[in-house]
Amino acid sequence: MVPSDLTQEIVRDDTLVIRTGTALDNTNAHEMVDMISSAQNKGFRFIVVDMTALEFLSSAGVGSILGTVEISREAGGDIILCRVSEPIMHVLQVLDLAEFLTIKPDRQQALTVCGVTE
Amino acid sequence: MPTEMTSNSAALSLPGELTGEAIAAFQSRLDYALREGPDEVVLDCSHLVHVTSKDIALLWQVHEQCTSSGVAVRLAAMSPYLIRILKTLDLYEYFKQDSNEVRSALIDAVRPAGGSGEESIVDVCSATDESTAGAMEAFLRFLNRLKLPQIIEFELRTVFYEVVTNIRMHSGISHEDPIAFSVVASPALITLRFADSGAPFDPTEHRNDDTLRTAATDGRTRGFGITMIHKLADSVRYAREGDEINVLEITKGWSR
Repeated sequence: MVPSDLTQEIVRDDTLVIRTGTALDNTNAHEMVDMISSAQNKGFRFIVVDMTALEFLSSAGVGSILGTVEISREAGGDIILCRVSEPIMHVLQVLDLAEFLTIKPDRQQALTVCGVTE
Repeated sequence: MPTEMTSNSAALSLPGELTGEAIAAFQSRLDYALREGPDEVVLDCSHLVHVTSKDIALLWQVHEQCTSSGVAVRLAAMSPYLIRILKTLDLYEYFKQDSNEVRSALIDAVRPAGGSGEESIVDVCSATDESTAGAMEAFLRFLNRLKLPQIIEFELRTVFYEVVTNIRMHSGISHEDPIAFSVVASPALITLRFADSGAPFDPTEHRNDDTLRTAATDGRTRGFGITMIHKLADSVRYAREGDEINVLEITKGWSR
């Protein structure tokens, strides 16, 4: 089995940080969906997706976030993206998602949305 | 339609029109070839323009007769249409394949006309993970040489990935089947062409800009590839060539 390039860190009982690897595409988007869904089922209302390492985002990668964000919002939380590179931000803007998704420049500001101070 | 014998194979042409006389003549040549004890029989399928149930029945009859004699059957000059029918009927795997002809047809379908001041590559990969990853690397090396703006390069990379993924996952081709592509860069325009022998599919009829907006409320995580291609490209054109090959042409304008 190929080791996952997605890692997670619990920062509070309702807040989880997921760090992506260099790509979020067909090879691992299902894993991202599973990780987010599992966290939501365990009561993590806020999920921060740290994209520091992310170099490529396919439609499947976009879908893994887009298709799960409403569950977090309905629970009073959100999925917050941070450290999004310029090309990936451009793609999100072209897809008309930059306003729809919550995107913050860095981890600290993303955690502030969750009410977490580090 | 001659029968050619080499030391270990016999080559026969399948008749284009299956009259009783043509079938009898073919059967006679096959019987003769098998008496010579070849390791394999190569059937030239180039005359099979309109594949009928009679043609398939004859192919299967040849397969059964050869197999009972311990002789393999290889099909040469298969059209993508014949390949698809054999796959649909779960018969494709029973024959040894010669995919060179299909590869050539796909490459011809994407081959650029060639113009002054243009740079181009033509390549072909199979639909495996490894082969498509290699194709992506070749594509990126080509883009890198052009020194495109980072955003344009990223958009083209994404489009390339989405098109190839869509072909691999939804066209019905097998892992061994080829996907041909070309990239032509003129001073202001990049043109990508892709060709595959899968089921007909026109992505220009499946654009849905509302997909992304409604996906969140639907909880849908897949099915955004075509929308993404349309959003990132300047133009998308589709053609079905000879009822056998899908050709997709995508353009993207650029300037330094």
